[in-house]
Amino acid sequence: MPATESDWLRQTLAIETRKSCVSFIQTPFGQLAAGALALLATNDYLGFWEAAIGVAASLAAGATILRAPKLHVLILFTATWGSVLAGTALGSLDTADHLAELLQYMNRTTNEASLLSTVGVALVLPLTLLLFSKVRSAPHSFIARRPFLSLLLFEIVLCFVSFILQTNGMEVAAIVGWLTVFVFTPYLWFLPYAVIDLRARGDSMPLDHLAIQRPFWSPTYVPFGKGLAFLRKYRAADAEALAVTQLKGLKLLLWANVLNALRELLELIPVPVIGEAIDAFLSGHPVSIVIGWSALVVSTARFCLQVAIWAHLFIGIARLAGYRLPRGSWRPLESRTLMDYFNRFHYYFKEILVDFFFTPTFFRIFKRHPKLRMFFATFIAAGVGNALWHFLRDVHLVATLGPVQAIRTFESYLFYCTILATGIGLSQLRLSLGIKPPEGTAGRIRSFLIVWSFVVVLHVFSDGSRAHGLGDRINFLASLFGVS
Amino acid sequence: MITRARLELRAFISETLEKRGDLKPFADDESLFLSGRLDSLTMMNFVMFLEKTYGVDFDTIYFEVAVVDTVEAILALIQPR
Repeated sequence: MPATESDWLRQTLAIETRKSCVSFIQTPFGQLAAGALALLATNDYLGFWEAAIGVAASLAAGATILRAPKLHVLILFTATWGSVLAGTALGSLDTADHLAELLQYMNRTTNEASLLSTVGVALVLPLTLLLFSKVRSAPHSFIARRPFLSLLLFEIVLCFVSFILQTNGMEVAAIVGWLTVFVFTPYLWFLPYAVIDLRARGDSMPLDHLAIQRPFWSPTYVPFGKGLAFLRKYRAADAEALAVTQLKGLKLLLWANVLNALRELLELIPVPVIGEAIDAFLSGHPVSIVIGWSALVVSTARFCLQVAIWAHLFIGIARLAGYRLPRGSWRPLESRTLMDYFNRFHYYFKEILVDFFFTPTFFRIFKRHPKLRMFFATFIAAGVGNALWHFLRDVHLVATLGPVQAIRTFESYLFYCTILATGIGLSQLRLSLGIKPPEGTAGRIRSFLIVWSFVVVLHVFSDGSRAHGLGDRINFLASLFGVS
Repeated sequence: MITRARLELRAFISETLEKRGDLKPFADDESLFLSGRLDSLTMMNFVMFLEKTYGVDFDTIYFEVAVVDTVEAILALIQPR
């Protein structure tokens, strides 16, 4: 019976429910074994030294989370800021790359890009402390009440000023301005959580928040683990909970490797990536419809696996540090509706869209029109928020391409966001009207086909490249339906 | 007032849970959303119910799931301050 096999597999893999495993990982040998396994599981993705430091820091944080909370915060702080400063200096984070691109565009030497970027990142520390101090002393100020909006306005003004300086030939000032933008942009998605928490609760210290600004387990633009309030909710409460959390972290790291093996298998399928298929179409030598659809399906699968692999690595390391965080990607193939897909596919990205876009919109706009209110707030989150996050992630293109060209090359992703947000908004609306997806095996297959057909088709517009315009992509998609 | 509100809240939550096929009882201090018994969509319907019935203005408070996660938390929220 398949169900029995599935149960057997589930039970075999449920090492966190076995007392012997839970006891073993609490011993020094168990911690060493966990460290070695985690290092093996992360080495290929992070590089040996980064993986070793990340794993050692997370196990040290885990070892102190119950008995020495202050030391725990200090370890998080050191690992977080150490890794972001070292990563910037050594070029494994993108800030220095963005600055180098700008310097090259201005025909200047790029030798100092890493050093300047590292200094810029180091300055985030005192400036963040200044912000926290302002929030505590003036909890009713605009920045304390509307942190995301305030910081977003700051970013926009900074971009505008930098661009004006650049176009007026004040290159050094423009470089300083753009460097500030590049350094600040990732923190735009972290700082509001800290500000909200500092304003709402008196018991958190600035160092607690500083320690998790782009935490060492995920130095990206998405806050995996959100802010301190969220982390506290998932913090291991006792030795057994910590052991279970760490075992679940190890499992997630290993699962990321299984998914990566699957992704590498997909690489063996002899189909072009979607960009190449569009190029072939534009050059007048299109691939066949079957190959075109295969390319689209395989590209979507690779992209989804990539998101899941990185999410599992980040959350796996955070769990080793003692935080039993929900997974970043949770069985997206089982999505019953588009709303469900949005919730499952990239959980922490969806969370910033909900926290910074959906909730403020929902609480303020169209309060007397429940259906419109729900649709509009969902649209703002999945459409506007999604587009804004992706545009700002590549904000350096505003400096090198100019704002008009940066927006023009983004039109395909804007189109993607509009269609996705409409789909998710309608899906949310249907659910709120009590229209549920059909039950049973046939119903599940139907849901799978509807959701994933939508996702696959939309992937034509969201493959991450800015090389093809919206018109070219629409024509390519039409060609897959035999329309030329 | 609180007793009546408690009864109204419990009735609304019971009805919502029943619609989802969840017939298990719930205590006043039991987590509804963080535990996964109710989802985010239900939370927004719940928010609209609290706005309409008790005049709660969520725009003026620091909103997180915890403020509506249990009957006790909601009662604290709607109590006149």
